[in-house]
Amino acid sequence: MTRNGARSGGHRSWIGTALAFSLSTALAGAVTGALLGAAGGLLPPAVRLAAASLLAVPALALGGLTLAGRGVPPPQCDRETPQRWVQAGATAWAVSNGAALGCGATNRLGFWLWYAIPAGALLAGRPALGVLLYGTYGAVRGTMVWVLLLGLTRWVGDDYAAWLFRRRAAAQALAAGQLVLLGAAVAVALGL
Amino acid sequence: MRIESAGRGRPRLAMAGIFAGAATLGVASGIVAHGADGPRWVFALLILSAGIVGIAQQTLPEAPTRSTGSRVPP
Repeated sequence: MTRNGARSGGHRSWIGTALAFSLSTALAGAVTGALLGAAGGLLPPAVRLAAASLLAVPALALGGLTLAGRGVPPPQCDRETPQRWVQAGATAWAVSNGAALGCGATNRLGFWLWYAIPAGALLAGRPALGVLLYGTYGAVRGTMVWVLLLGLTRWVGDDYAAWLFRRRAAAQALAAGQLVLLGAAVAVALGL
Repeated sequence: MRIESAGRGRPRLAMAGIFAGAATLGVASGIVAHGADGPRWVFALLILSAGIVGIAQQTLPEAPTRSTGSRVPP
């Protein structure tokens, strides 16, 4: 959501568009999490436990490699939302783009840590926990548009996209550190 | 550089606040999540991970949150 594009229709217009985007993103995350949690509930608890324990190994390895500067990009659909969605109108674009980003899987991921979200929702085995986990991701991602539009544009100006991009290395380190922490926690708590 | 003149402290403070908020949300949600099959604090770390990823993805080249749908990064 570009600042100029979002604000081109006036104050009320960009607020409505941003609100639609945020709600759509959170809802998409919650629905995806519920579906994954329900699907995970079909698996025996022992299988989920074993899968979580096994996943701790690649989590530790991939997070450690990234921290060591030898990270590999995660498998991902390295693309953005289709251009034609923009032509459908601001609100329709906000809803559809929000739905895509709330799920996340069809867009650029960038971080191995993202995979902990669908894996966690599935292995939690309960729709409510899936909603809590994946919904948090969707809500945070959708809320960031307010931080961008109301905060960063004021603090760093129109160059906020470049400002954010320059912090990608720090974001990678943070995400990799969290992945190592998560892998270690799962290994300790659930056993390898 | 506009960033330098705009004051470097506030954006960093804001980012630290966002991360602290995400951490608080994660821990609180994990505590609330009674009945998880695994230990609650692992689930709290998962919630925190979700918050971190949601924020970190904003640093991707032309992150879709602020894009107009272009398939090509700048």
